[in-house]
Amino acid sequence: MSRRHSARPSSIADPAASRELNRRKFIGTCCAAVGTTGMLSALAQLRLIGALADTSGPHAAGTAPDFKALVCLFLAGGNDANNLIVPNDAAGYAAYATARGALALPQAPLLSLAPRTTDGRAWALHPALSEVQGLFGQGRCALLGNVGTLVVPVTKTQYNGRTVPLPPQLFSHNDQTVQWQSSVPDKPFQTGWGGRLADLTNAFNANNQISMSISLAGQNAFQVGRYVSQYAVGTGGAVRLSGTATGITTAAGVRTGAQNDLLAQQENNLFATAFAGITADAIGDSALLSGIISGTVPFTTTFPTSNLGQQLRMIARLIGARDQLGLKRQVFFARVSGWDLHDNQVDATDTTIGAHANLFRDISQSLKAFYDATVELGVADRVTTFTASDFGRTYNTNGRGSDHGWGSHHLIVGGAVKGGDLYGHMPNLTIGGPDDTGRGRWIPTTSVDEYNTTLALWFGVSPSNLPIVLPNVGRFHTTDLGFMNPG
Amino acid sequence: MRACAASDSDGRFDIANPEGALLQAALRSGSVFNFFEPAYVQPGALAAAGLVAPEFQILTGTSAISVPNNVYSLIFSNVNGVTLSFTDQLSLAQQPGPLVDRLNLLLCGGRMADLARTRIVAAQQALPAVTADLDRVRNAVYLVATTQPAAIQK
Repeated sequence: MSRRHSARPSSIADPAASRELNRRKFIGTCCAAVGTTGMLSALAQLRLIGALADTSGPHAAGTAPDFKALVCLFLAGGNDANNLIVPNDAAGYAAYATARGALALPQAPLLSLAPRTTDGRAWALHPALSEVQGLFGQGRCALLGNVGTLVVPVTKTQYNGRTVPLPPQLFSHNDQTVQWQSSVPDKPFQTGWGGRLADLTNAFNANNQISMSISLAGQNAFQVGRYVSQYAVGTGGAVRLSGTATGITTAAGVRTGAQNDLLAQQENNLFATAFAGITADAIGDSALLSGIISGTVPFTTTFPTSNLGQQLRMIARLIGARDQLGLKRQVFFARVSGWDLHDNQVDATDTTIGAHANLFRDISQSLKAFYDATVELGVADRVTTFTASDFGRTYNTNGRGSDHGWGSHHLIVGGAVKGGDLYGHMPNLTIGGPDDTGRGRWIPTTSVDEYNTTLALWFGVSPSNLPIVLPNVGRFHTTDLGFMNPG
Repeated sequence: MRACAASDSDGRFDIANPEGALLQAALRSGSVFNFFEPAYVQPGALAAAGLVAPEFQILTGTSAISVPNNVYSLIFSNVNGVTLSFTDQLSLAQQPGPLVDRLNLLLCGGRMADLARTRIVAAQQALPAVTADLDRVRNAVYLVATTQPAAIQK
């Protein structure tokens, strides 16, 4: 049933795969040689464009500060968005309750939505998302229906006939996670779209002290760039190196000096050079960040004590330190795990409580606190948070859980969001219906690429440069789904 | 640890929370596959050379500090009762050249670059005269274990 363990054979176990890797490596080398020149000259041009955009944009000198931050909140494991946005009209709810069985939420506690536009159906949020409902009502949160990985737009007939290419390894965690984060589902992974966005917009950061790509959840595919490296910090900020001292009168001072010299030594091995460079940078960056984070907290908003709450709190602190860090563009990655709920998604006697409700409550409270902190920092309309996840889940159940799906619904929060509305298209929620591949695995009606181009345009990427960040953009209906106000 | 004569007060060589400091722990990988992806590419010179570098996926701005800090605690104090007594190296504490050569053999498979050896020997010679033998050995082990010679084994 579950395909989460499906994967290409590892290179260790399979000699054919090892040959494949060598071939890929060979091709990669050639492509890198060809690609670098083109990319570098494009970047050189973009630096000029960036320098111009910096002062000639809508926020010219003397008005609002030119700063923007994009936060990717990844719901690792595959969120069951079928219980994020629930049908709330009589006919829709009745069909929902029948189809979802043991996972169906009772209608009374659902949090109703009043979107500005309607397709004739009424919708409501999961009862644990009261803060999200509030942000939606204030126009600070938008919902995007049925978005997922696509190589090209797909109809059910095309899906059944396999007459158009589909994303490889649908319904598989690691493949779909990487495809969501690369936005290039039809090619082997090279870079993430957040990394390419950073490569392109790093021109805005003329005097940056640390990387503009910061992860609160370790290394990830989203932020892998060709030029800009991601920098992972913990929820407590940067960790300092133990046992360091300055001067040469103590053993610690002698050791610190020698360690720094060793890490700066020229190596004739690329891996040794990379190791030394990363370590030396980390030591320097941690000293810098520790100095900044040890200062006064620039906001009074209280965040949830959950790991996600603390991740977003540290992101708010790093946004607060943007001037000291010399950053006018920042891309953050946060992650909350535990969404792969094949079982125990809901409590046995009450579907409004249980593991899924706890996760929703966490993201609802954490997103609200984060939004409030950006208001305090005076950058609410300069910071946009969006959710992403491996995939949606099946509409029918697996007892008290659900299995891996495809199209899913997502949240976008921030002061620049044209909130209070439902974007994209909610699927026809009929198992076996025109949007279903079987079991309520919805065929996405909006591609991940269209979701991402809308965010990239707001972040400052010009329409002509969109293909650098999102190369498959031309295959889909639009580059702007309309949920962002122009920046 | 074997090279440095590790012993433990209760016989258990336990490392608490390795997934925190080392980003790896038995049976705790983030996906069912591994701690890093086989196709991970490290930006910079490695990416330009078309090389994949899977292990570099867990060498982050955080782990590049937390891993040496873990090594530091193990060498200079003890971690959960695990103590290193350096019986193999103590007799060489006052002889920087032979000490570094011995560590090169034990920790680096004898592949330490001459430049690195020269710098570590110089550091050993520059230690304050009052430095105890045990601390001299600890100093050399830390420098070897946290820099390129031991980290990148060719």
